[in-house]
Amino acid sequence: MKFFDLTTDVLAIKCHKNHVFIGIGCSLYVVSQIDNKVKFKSSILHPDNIHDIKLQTDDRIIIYGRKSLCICQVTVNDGFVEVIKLDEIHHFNDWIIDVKCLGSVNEPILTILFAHNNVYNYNTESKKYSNTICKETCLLYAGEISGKHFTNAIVLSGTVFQEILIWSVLNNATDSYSPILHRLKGHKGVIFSVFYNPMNNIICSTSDDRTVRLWKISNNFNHNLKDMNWSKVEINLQTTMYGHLARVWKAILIKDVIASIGEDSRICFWNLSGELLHKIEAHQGATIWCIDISVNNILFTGGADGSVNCWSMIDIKSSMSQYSLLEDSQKEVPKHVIFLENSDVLVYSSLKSNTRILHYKKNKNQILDSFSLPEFSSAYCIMELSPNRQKFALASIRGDIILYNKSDQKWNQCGIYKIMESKIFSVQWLDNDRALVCSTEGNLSIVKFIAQRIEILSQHILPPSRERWVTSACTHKNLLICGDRMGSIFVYNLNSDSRDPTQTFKKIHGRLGVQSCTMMNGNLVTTGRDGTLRFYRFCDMKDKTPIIEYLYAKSMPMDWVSKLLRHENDYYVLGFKEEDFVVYSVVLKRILVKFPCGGGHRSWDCLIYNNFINFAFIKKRKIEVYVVPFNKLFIPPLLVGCHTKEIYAVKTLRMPANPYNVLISGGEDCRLVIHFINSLESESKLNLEIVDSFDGHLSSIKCLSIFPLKEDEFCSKYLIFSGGGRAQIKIWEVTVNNDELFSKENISCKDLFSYMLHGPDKERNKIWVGKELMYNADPETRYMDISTIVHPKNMHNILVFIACSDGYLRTFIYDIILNKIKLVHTLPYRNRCILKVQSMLHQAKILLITMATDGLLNFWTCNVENDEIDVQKIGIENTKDFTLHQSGINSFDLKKLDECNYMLATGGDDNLLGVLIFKAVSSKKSIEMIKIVSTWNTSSIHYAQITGVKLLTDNKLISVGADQKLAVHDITCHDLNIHAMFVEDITLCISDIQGITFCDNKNNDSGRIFCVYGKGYQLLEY
Amino acid sequence: MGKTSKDKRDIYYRRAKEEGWRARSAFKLLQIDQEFSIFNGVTKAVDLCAAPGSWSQVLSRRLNENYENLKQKSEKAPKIIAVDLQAMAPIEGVVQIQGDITNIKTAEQIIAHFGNEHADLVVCDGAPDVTGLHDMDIFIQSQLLLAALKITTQILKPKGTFIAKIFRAKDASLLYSQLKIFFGSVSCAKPRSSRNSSFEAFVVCKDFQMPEGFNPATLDLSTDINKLVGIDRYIAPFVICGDLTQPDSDTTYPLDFEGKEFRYCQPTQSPINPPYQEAMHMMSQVNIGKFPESTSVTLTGKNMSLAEFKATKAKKQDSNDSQK
Ligand SMILES: C[S@@+](CC[C@H](N)C(=O)[O-])C[C@H]1O[C@@H](n2cnc3c(N)ncnc32)[C@H](O)[C@@H]1O
Repeated sequence: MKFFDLTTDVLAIKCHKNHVFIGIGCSLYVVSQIDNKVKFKSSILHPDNIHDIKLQTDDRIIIYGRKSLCICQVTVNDGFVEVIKLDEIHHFNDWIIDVKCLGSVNEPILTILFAHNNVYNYNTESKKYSNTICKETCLLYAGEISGKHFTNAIVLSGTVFQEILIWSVLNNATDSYSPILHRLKGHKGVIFSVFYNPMNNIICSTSDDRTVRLWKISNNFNHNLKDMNWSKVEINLQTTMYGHLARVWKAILIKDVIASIGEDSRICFWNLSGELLHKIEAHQGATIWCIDISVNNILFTGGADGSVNCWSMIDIKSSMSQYSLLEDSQKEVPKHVIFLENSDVLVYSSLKSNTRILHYKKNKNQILDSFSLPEFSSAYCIMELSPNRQKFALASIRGDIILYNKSDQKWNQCGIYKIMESKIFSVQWLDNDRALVCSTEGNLSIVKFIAQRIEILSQHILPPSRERWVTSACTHKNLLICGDRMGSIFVYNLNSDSRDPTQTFKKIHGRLGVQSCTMMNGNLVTTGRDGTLRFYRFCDMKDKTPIIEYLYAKSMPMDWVSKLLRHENDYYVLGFKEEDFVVYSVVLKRILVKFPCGGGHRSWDCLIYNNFINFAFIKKRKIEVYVVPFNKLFIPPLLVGCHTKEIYAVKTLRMPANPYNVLISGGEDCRLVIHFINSLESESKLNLEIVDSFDGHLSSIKCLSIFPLKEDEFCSKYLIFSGGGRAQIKIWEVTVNNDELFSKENISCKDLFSYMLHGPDKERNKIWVGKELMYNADPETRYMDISTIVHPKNMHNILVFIACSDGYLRTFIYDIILNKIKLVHTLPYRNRCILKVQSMLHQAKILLITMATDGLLNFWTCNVENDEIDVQKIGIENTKDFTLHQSGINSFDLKKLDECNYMLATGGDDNLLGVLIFKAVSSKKSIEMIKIVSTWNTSSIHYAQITGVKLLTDNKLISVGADQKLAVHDITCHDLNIHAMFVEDITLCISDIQGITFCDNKNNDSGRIFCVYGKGYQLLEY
Repeated sequence: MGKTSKDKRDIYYRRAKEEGWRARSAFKLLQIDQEFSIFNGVTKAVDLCAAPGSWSQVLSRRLNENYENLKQKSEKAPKIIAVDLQAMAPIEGVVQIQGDITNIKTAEQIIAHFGNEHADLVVCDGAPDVTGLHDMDIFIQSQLLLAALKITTQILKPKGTFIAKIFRAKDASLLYSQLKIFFGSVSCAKPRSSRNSSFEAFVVCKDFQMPEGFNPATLDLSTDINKLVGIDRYIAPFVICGDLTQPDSDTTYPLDFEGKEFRYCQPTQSPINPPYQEAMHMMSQVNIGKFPESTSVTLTGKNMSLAEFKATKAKKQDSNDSQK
């Protein structure tokens, strides 16, 4: 058994010179800060998790977690890093809270604080120790050892019962009890961290009560703080900081800034007087466990999502510069503000009847140029900047357009063009020479500006609606795509004679309107005030319809998504959230910066130029401009995480034609994620990498089923059925293009369908209770498992069987051609939550197996006639109910032995691992009966519920469970009698294990790759 | 999430409210009793980690029934001691101690209550407020169990019963072996009201007997027992409690299940003074019209109560107003 890649909670981070040492589960990763590459990887503390890493000397580190500790030598050579254990792992009887190496280099003594409030001075060579026990024995969650030398160290321990106890290490030969010197009271919950900073004599603590507290140590007797006498000092609560929205795990003091991290996924920065400087949501909602800072002032945080993110310690507020324009002119009313390509600011404003353009030098309140505009533009005017930011067009209520461009630092009017007789609603630049002009009654014209004249290239009609105008447009080849005020997207063929759209996505962005249409890496992306980005792809132009295919939506952490901004091949999403303007990075998948502006604005602009993000908007007749350094905000993560919460299901796509493997996963965070394993690279680098992730589930994803659609020499297509909470099922289409080399572009995903049993509408089926309360009587059904099989009589239909938590087995028929799903059968089952369902063909008849929380095994068969389906129970010979487990059956695997015999392995909530052989007895017409041929089971292998079992072809049975154990048995059968032999077991590095998936490994016949998942995932080879 | 979605997802949550239990946990103890008859003849019990108090409610009901039956024999009134970190609303006939059961001072307080009497039953439903760090949660859980066992060895009568929550996990077998030293029978019980797939289970330990050579007062469980337990680790039999007629905690039932008309019930007892209460109140004081992303409160000096905070805020407001 060999371990490969792993993603789970990141509990420890330590920066040392150019490297960052990271503890993920039991593994140590060393990442170079120079190229962000993983230089070293090893499950060094296995089976224990690394909870912290300490530097002992320049080339020695101490790694510890749980009850184990190990000292390692670090060698850095020519870009290679090696970490070697200096001796065996030291094991203790108690949980390690803190370790310090106090003393000179040649004293092999470690001072170790344990969870029972005692300290060892431990000799790492002789393994002898002296034990000091605090007089108040109790359980600790946190604590710190401090001091110059182990002979006179001080302990600050944080108890479960709100207090911080300070006591000293006695270093006697026998166990000795040490009295409490100080008892700090103030916190209202468990103490999660305590740190003492000798530089400014402050103790900083965090707690379950959501506060960070600072305690001041005053030394009235001795001003020489170096040799502080702890029994003589006075310690008082100085500051209490509320700002986190959940428990605060830790806070570190960096010079005069405190950075605290918590369960709310936020980092708060505070100054020493306790004022909040800045708050960021840092790990997509996942808990943040650890934090450290490098010498070059980069802050690293590690979270429950398995990622390590990087932040600039420079206070964003202080590095943000801000200035205002038109501050003192009381009467001047600015209407539009834009940035030119070099971040100069252009303002359109009016002063009484005089309207003018003011050109300000960048970052300065200095006017470079100003000129009055023709009289027509004052009352109603649109101003639009060309994509290259060197021209702008003004459009009037009377149907004129005036074009200005800049040459030799001067603005010139290129011409005034009468486009139409009526009001112009909007002008959308398509490129630097063409624009789409929208006027009344849905009249659209594409105009081209040529030297002194214009040319109308084509004309189109926007379908009628209440607010009939275009809000955004772009072109791709011979297509014009535009979005309207009512949230619809229309597609026009520029080569066609028809002025009407050839394709429509009606109200796709909801009733608040489309905000932008942009081309991104060959795909179309639209944004809207529904807070989403929507992706589309272009199909072969020769094919008739559809020309544009909708793929999927991504929800953005903002209410109103305005547009995509391109900068050096990366894309940034601009929009508004609550009172702020936000800039979101598509690559980093997070908000880079927020500017307080009071909410959505009529005129604003944003530009990334010369390493600065510029944002301008109009507020109270003034222009406000913010400028922040871009490189301080855009720091890519050291490690990219995965799911932010538990993973419940992982499935592998069967892809014989490709040398890599593609996995699909879903879980508590409601996201469907596509990953790939690259097995082409050298073995030690077997990595699981994310291709992309998809939103759309309203509640957790509990189960997946994969249905292969087609496989040819060019590509493979699959349907993915995902189900979960809120009785929701989604259907996706994944296409993988065949290619020797993996590239993310080879995989695409399309969101086909979403179906909710009780409808998405909240207003369904309400019952009234009392006067004002109204309830919906439906249960909150969860879909626990899905099994799919092709309709025996119609190859375009798929039968979808769903195990439901409300005790029903539901059968749906999905029509591939029509993309429609229909509930065709509902089978009630004893009011027990059904956990598993499996469908298969047995001699051309459908055989179904279900398992529920009652531990019974049930067999069913079904007759299908078009849309009619009839599910019948199949009896088991000699029994009414066949009990396999005392309670829920969490996992199973099935193997066909011969024409009518099957082997079924099950793992239950009762710690029982079972294998049985059953025979399906069938007649011509139906499956008549099930005979249980033989059974075997054991409950002494796992200590906790078994959540995953796999039967391998070479007679091995693999089982995994919540006890973090993977066990291997040899299962052989002679005359259909089962013989089982225990082979081996190992401890896994991830917790909360939910299952195991076999990942087909094509390159290597001897080894097989598995993915065990739960709180993160782990790849292993057996 | 709607007000009723928890009612729908969890039938025991709904029933607890309907039947007046402070927590759904009550059903776990009742189902364990169905299988193991743990209340037989019990008149003196300790409830460790008791808040919000549904087990104490069960104890109080069942012990009083026992007392009624035994009255003729001039028994003393039932005695129930409940201990928790959190404050708990009073329950008649239950003595409360607020403290940490792993702290030696709390242990001494409990023992002092018994003097030279013994308890018939000790229960412990203690659990850390899970951090999400699995190994840490398991460790804390096992320490709560050992702390409870330590207290138990000093107050439980011979042949008495001890029940404690345990996380089924990596090192559960070590705990079973440690318990087996003190009890004739140790089982791992899983009530139907405890969710399938949750780590939680309960050890039901019967037939207490102090092994020779052990002094309960100086017992150090973290070290002494390790010396005693050989390689043979004991695997406690796993028992599901509650028959199939009892509802299933994983199943989602419609609100009008079993033809009964649904009536929304308020929770019987909401938590008293949870650790985060003050933070929530403080933040809500300044959060008016603002968004959580920019909210913070800073207090300087000694602890300030919410009332004091409000008062100083009002004062500031006044002076601001008068300046205008
Ligand atoms: C699941 S609740 C108990 C519910 C209770 N049995 C009932 O039925 O209402 C767990 C309790 O353990 C308490 N607890 C956790 N650690 C503790 C400790 N060290 N000392 C005392 N109580 C503790 C928590 O405060 C919490 O109230």
